[in-house]
Amino acid sequence: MLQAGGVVVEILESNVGGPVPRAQLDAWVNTYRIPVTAVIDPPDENVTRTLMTYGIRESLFVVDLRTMRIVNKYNGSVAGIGPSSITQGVTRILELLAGGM
Amino acid sequence: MRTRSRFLSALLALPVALAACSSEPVPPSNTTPDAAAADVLLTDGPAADAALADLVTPVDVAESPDAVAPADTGPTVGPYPAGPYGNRAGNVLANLSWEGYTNLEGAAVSTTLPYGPTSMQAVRETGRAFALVHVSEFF
Repeated sequence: MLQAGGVVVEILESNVGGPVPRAQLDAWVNTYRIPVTAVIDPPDENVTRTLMTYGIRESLFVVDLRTMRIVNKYNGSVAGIGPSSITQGVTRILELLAGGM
Repeated sequence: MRTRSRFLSALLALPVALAACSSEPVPPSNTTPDAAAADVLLTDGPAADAALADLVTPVDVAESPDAVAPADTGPTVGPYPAGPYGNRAGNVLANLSWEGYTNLEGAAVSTTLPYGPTSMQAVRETGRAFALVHVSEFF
């Protein structure tokens, strides 16, 4: 997908509802060997702004970066049941990157 | 540590090679006032005198707009789209600022890359067309 011109942003937006320290971001990236952009709200600000703005976990946004409009939004199961949001979203973004609508 | 890891398992199964994303630097123009003056057909008279004076008079390069190459500011995507913002399909996603690891190439575990500030506007400025933006939580 990156080869096709996409970008992936993974946001660790809360720690049991609270802000996420850098150490947890590092542990998360290292544990799962995450090879994409991985970020948190600025720890010094002690906020969960992303959670408040983008919503709860397992939400996946397919975003047109020219307009920043959400083309599609997928909600995976927070209980780990059913298809993950990525399974639903990857096919869609590959269509878009190939010039589909 | 428990997180939503199924997304990551699926993500790691994807091929993640990077498309070349470069911005060619703009070569400096060599059409400076001096260069233009050198092209003047020198004959006797006021025009020739003026051209010669221009050739021998020191020119402050910083004040000569043609002599200064434009700074390479990278891809230009313009300002972030205005709101109202939302988190539903069809809404404009808000510009948030974060800290972390920017990894556009997918060639390494992200903690091997520099840690620093970034934002959704910075993601736009990569010049990529579409993004997958995924939110996870520790719980």
